Amino acid sequence: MTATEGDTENPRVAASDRTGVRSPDILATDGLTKKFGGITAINNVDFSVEEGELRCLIGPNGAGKSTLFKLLTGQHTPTSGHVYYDGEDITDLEPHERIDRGMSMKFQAPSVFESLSVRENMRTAAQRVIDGNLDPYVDEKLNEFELADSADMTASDLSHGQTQILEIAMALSLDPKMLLLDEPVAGMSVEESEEVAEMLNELHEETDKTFIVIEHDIDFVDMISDQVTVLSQGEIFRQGTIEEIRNDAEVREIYLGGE
Amino acid sequence: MTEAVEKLRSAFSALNGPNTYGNGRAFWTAFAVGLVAVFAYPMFVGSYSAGQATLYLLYGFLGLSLCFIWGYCGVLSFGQVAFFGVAGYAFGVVTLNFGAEATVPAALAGVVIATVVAAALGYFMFYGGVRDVYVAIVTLAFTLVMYTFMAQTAGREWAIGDARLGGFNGMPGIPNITLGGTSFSGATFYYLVAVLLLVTYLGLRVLVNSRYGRVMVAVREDEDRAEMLGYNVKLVKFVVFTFGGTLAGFSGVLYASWGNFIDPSVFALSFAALPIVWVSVGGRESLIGAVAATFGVQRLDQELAATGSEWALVIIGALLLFVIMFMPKGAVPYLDRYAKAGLGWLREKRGAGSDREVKAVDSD
Repeated sequence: MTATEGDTENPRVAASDRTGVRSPDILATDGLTKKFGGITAINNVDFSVEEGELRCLIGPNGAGKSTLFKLLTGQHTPTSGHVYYDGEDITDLEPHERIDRGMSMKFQAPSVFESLSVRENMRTAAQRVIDGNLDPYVDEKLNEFELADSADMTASDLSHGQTQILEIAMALSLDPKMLLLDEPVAGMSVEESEEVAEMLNELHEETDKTFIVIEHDIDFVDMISDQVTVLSQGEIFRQGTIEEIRNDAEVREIYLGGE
Repeated sequence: MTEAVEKLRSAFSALNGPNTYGNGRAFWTAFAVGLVAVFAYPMFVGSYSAGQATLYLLYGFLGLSLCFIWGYCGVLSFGQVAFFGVAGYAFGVVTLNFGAEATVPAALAGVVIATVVAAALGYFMFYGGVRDVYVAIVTLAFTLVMYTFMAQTAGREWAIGDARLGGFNGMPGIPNITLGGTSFSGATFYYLVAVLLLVTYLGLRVLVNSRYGRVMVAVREDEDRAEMLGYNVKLVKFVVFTFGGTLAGFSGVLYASWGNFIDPSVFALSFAALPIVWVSVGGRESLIGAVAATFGVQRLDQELAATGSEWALVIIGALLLFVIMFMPKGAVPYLDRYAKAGLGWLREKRGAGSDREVKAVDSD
């Protein structure tokens, strides 16, 4: 499609050449662009994440964070550019085919099956990975996420924080290789946020799962992530450690305001 | 022996689950009583009245088809009668060419053609990105096109073999379904339809409470969430819609055989709206509600028409409005809630002593 296509056909090699790190990229985009009418939501983005990384994606409202997620999951089709996952070009794959390859996602607005019980919600996710009797696996997951007491409640009766937890639990029940979390702690209490941070840190340390987290709350980012990517006006503005980002005057100007 | 009991028990448990109303002892007792009433009915009213009631039973498949795709998968089709009509016409064309001996292959042909038509329409809709209310518009448009087309087939040139399509005059002389020398009409046809409906109902209960039923409900509840759990939403809707066409086609075949006649009125707007009325009144998410409301509404409609009331349509319309305003989920979910509350209250009232009894029965 573009002249650069040949250079990045194998993003794994390209990435390790750049960084000198052996760990291959599980995810890479190449010249990814998405236009809605006259508006360019994502502009020529080369974004890559290594396997096992926990990466935060921050940026002001309208920076294109959620749009980038939807391009990764296939809910949006890019105007141009490519998405590579685990060494494979997945640009033309349907969303469910990408989930089959080990992706999973939590939506920005809490999105569970509201009129079903918490247990049915979990079963709907669990039957993707479990043959036969679902109940032992579902019970295990309900306990793990402290949802066992509300298992028979209708999901719409859960508190906002619990709904978020349920959605994260469903996404993790698929046992994904890469989990995309769009504002996982939005609207949660401080205690709930801390619990989620603790859980993410544990999973990050104990498994080789990859996490990409969109988050507004810089304190939450501080709790979970080392590497941060700043998106602004549909382009990658900065990439670096949380300290570098915090101390970057330009980032403070566009995003952190007077903090 | 115990193995057989165990098998029976697991077969029975497949009928029950979170996706059907009525899973308890009370429901199945009432169901058995209702079933006895349905099968005893012709003995009390005679063959002619049973023949009338057969119509309401055979419409049950049409009601179930919409309940299945709309209530369980969230796909609102305004055109189930199109598949019903196509199957009825196909049954007529085959039997008028090959005679009463061919009714079984003809029935099969009718159902297969309805399924293929539903699959074609479903493919273009779901893989073409038609969603939500636009599905209702496209399916209704398809039905009305069929109406216009069939209405202009009065000329001699509109014939398939010996079968003339007949335009508004319709297609008379369609034979009864004949199986092993028995021509089904009156009470015998009633029993045939009742048995088929029972089997279909129980089969659908197993299906909606299965893993696939869970996927259908996930698609109904939230397509994006279902997709992000890895479900192929388009394929699920396509498959469910196609199977809905099969059920509606089955209804159409029975209809053509019941009246020995079919005409373009099966594609008319007034008929196309009826399944929506039945399913809304009974409760979208209830299979038993769809069957019961189909029977009840059509019975009422017939009663009103027979007494010479010109208010039949107005009264049916008022019934629909009443249900939508006061029981938006339909009659069965409403009854279910009150029945459960009533049972709970009874248990409480009988006190702790008999509570043990109830528990003993439950764990039986």
